[in-house]
Amino acid sequence: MKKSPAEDKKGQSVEDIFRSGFAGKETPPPSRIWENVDRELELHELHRYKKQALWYRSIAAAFLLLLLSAGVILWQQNTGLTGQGSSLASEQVKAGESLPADFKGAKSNAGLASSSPKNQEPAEQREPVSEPFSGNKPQNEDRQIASAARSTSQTVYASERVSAEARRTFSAPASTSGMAQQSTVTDEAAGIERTKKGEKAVMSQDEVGKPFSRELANSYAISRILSAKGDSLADAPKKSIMVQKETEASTLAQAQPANEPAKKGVGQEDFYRWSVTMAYSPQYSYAPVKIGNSSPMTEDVSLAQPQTYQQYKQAVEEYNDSYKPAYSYSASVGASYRINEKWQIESGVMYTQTEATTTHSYLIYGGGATAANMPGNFYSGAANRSTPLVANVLQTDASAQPLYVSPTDQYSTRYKYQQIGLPVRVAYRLNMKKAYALISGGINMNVLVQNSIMPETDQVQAIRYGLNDKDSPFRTMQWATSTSIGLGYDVTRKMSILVAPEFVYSLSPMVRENQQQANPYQLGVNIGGRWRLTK
Amino acid sequence: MKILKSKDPTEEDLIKRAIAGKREAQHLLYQKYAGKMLAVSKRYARTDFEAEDILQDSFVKVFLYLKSFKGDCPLEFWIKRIVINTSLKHQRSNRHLMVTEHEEEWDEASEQDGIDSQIGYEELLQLVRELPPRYQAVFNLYAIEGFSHKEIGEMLDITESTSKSQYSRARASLRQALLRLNQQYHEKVSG
Repeated sequence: MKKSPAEDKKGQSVEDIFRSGFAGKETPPPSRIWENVDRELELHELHRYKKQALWYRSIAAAFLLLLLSAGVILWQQNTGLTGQGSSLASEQVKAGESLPADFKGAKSNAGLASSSPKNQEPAEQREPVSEPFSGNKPQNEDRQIASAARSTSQTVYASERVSAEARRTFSAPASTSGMAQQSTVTDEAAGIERTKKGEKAVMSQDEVGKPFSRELANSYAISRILSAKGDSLADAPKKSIMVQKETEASTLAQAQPANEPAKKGVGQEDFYRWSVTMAYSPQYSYAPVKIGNSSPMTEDVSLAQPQTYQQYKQAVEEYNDSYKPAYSYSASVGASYRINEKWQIESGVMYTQTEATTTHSYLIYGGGATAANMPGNFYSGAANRSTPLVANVLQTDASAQPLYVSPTDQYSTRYKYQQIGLPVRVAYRLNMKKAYALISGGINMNVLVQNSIMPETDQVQAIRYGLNDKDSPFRTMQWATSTSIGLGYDVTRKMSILVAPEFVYSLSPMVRENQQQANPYQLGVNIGGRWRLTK
Repeated sequence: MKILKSKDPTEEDLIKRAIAGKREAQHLLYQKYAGKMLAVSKRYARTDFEAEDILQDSFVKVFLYLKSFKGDCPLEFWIKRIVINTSLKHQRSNRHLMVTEHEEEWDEASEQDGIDSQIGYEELLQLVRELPPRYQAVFNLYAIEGFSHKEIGEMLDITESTSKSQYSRARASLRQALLRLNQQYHEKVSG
């Protein structure tokens, strides 16, 4: 810093007096100032932890929301496509017939189905000897003669005969109104045929050839809808060969989709819906239980025993700093149900074992433990063993007990958390020939069944908390979100393997007392197999 | 991980550990500088309680922003600057005692006062605290910390000439007070 102009002057100026009077002056601050600073810093850290936790939660929630939204959209699209493909396939079957010339001409302008040359080609091949169509003669008259010698796949066209009749009858309006209307008309005509079998039993060729009114067609269509048993072949009287063949043709027409999966419902039928899944996932698990310096115990101790307070703080700091995740893993067995070709739901049972270690240079007596554990107490049944720091501090009655801290040789403490969980996940599958990508997200509901704190020294006693242990400072029920993206490979038709990195983020801290605890998270790699069971 | 147990950890080590959030290192740094900084804050505060508040706020800022310390000056200077800024902020927020800014010539010739002072620290501190707040700040910044009037103007958001004017008034006031105390002291000694 610059010198004041006064410094160059001789004699005792005002500046000289004050500068020399204040020079090098120190005033020892009261101890409460540091305590306040300490508390303020802890509050800042807590605030930072909360902000981080909020950020992680927001990311997890956004991801899940995105996944669900994308799932709903894709699912709807898939459903729509499947339905559309099905109707188009049936339309193509009908349109594949050789139609009256005038209808063909009209239909070629009408819509998608009629414009397919593939569907028109077989019709020409199948009618090599057919006579030229006339406007008054239904196409199926010729085919009825030839169809007796044809394979069953050809007999399907018998049902189209009536469709053609209907088309001819309604040819003027139907041919100009597009695919949808045309499809409706042909469906109605097919319905008429099936319904007629039950009602009139026999229809002569002349009758077939005759145009019938729209009202009649409508009444047939309604009766088709009402009588679900209209397709029953047993009721069809065998009064003529033609009618019998019509009946057979109708049956085959309905059975055809099963024989030709490529045309209809491929996505719905060509995969196994139920699978058994098994997975093992080695994990990096970060689940520290931090101890704050602002524990109620420390305030009492700091006032009464400053040295003990300092040692206790060092013990706490050493504990917090030395947290080190050890080898952790999860294993799961479950079932997967494929909703459609791309989406599936998975659930099952998952066992998770999380381990970590800390190092210590102090022994803590008293606090949450009983005074009987203090050294020198001859009545101690615990052979003068101290209690683990974290268990001591997190005891609810910790502040009510006296505290004794003793330095010792450094030792490690191992923590083991064993959880059984119920994962529920939604997965999206992208097929790539035999390989596939699987993106999944969901919720894990975990129950802490056992928690062990095992110091690697005889001076400190091990502690084990069981399921629903009232003394346990740890939460029994914990919720977590999980997200994974992986690659799978279909080894056989019924078995596939999957490798999927997974991120699991707990929605709550490990301990019940929420004192500046970070929420645990796990990073793992799922290695698993799937065995398909049933379609 | 080992607990910091060495007798004399270097300041650099302490700074690194304090930046990493190690409370023990932060406490050691606090213990090293808190006494000096409390003396600084007392000069800017009106009471000891206010000085302690300033010290507390200053050290919270020190540890929150320690990572921005680049080491281009001694840490003590850096902390002292934080304490001074915090003091000025306290002054702005807690008081609205803006003195009328008379811009008058600053008479440098009157610097040599020839006062034979026997006045102690507490009395000097009391004299400075009795100044109006803005005068107090300007006097401390110029006479004790050694800032120029231009720098003081920027720090207090006043003009350079206003800083000179306020300093002149503060100085005149303190000079009179010193002379009065000096006279009382001599009367006491001779009497």
